Amino acid sequence: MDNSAPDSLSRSETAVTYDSPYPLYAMAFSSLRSSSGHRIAVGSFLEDYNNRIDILSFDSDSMTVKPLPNLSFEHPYPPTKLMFSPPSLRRPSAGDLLASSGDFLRLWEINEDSSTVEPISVLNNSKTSEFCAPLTSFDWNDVEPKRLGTCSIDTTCTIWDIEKSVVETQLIAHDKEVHDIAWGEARVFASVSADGSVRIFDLRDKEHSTIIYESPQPDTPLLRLAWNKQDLRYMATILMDSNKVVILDIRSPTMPVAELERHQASVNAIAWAPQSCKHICSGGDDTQALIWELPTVAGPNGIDPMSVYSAGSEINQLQWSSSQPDWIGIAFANKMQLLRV
Amino acid sequence: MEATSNGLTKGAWTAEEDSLLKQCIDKYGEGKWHQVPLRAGLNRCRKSCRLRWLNYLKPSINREKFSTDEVDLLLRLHKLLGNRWSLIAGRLPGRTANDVKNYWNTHLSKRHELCCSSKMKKKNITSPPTTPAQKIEVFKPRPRSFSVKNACSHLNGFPKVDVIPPCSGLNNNNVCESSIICGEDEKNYESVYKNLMDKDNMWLKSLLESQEADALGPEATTIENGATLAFDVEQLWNLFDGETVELD
Repeated sequence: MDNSAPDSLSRSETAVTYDSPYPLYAMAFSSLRSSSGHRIAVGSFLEDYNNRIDILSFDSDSMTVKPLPNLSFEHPYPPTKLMFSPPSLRRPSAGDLLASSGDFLRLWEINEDSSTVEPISVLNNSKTSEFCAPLTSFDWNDVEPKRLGTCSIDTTCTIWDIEKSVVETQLIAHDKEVHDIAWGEARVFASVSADGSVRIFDLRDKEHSTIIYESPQPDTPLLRLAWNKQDLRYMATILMDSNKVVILDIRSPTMPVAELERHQASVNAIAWAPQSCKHICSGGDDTQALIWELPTVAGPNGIDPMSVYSAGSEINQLQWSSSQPDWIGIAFANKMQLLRV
Repeated sequence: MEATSNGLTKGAWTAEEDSLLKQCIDKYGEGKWHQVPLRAGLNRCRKSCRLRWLNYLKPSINREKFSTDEVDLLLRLHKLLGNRWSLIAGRLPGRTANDVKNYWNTHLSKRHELCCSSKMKKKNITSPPTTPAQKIEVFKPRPRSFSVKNACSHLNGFPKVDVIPPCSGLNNNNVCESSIICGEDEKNYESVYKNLMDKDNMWLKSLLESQEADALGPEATTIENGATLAFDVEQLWNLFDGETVELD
């Protein structure tokens, strides 16, 4: 990316910080490169109805992040997740699509040339109410980009066709709140829940799901799920109040193939490397972001991270940019920081 | 008190019975319901004991009238979740699903119908810009588990088994147990994998490829896997393969 980078980078050259007026939680990298640089969306985390989404522009050559105030907009409740449309989504207009979850699934079109953000749709999955049970997360299918799956505290996962703005399928996926969802391929997704299980669903067989992992202490909630896009045999999940990152192989149900246990406090976020099947990054309450390389065979003393980064406070969010795989974004307190891998 | 054909007491619980059940649970703790009738000296089935405890006797149950805050929350949760009583109860500390359902049916369901119909009229004027979901068929997939632990937890309900097998023999024992308990699931185990393998997905192809690797004994791989957390996927696939063979 950056040809002029010197061989030895000082710390300040490997990290770029954006200070926000409010605490941040949700964050997303765009796959498009716009005129002003790479686009990043960050969502505020205020315990209030009024929250905001800010659009930032990151220039990796000059190592600067600047907000685009014209593209900042209000969001009801803190967004629980943000995601830009996958590059496979072909759209007639040049704008970038951003999805957010919270009280509803919302789609926004961000058009930098005209400096406008247009709300495209507000999608409610409840047929009985004008409200929708709070959404904890969602995932955009990058093989079939009209398909987007949301998960909710009401134990359901909803699969949307966002082109037609209709529900394709709704599944009572778990016995308790569903905390995260991740697509494997066009019709296969997995979810994690407060019931402590990781379940795989296939849209061609809606009568069954397959439990591939259950937390060792019954009913320890599972909070996040990351499916390795480079090698779909692997998934990673994290448990509530646990310092472990659990690595699963879908062919070896129930038994993790590795547990990464070098965080000093709870892990809050995980992301697989977009370009390598062996690397994963995790961030936690110990303020550390750890990058791990999964070994072919683990030694007797467990697995050590290959690199450690200490942030100023508890890391709540972590995203690995797929358009710029040498950059990882983390959010802690009022800051969003980009780290060069 | 009535008695059923098998001699067990049915119908309302007496104060004496309640106190026997309470004493038993104070002494032995909650759980192992199959042992409770014997330990407590009750002529009741284990299900009856369990429900009596969870719905009425458990000390954490709030037996006071519903407060206005609770009613408010109940109304809002019902709006979101519908008649999913245990989910609603999960957010009302001290209330059981049964209490919530009863309260709803006696106090709120009528009011709900009224406000719903009036809202429908209003909605036409001030409809929010949401895209409502229409005629969605909600599926409830049956979870299938390969979990060794799950097979054990099924066992908890069976009277004659109260010892979890020792760790050394865990894997072998569990394979046997799951084939006993999940007798009718045998086909499921098979079909899940057939199902997964029938499809021409990228990841399933790679599964098939690794399946072709030559087989190691299932016991050996199990131990290896548990002991070293080896990241050798082929062995793990074989482990899995071994398990399904055993179930057949």
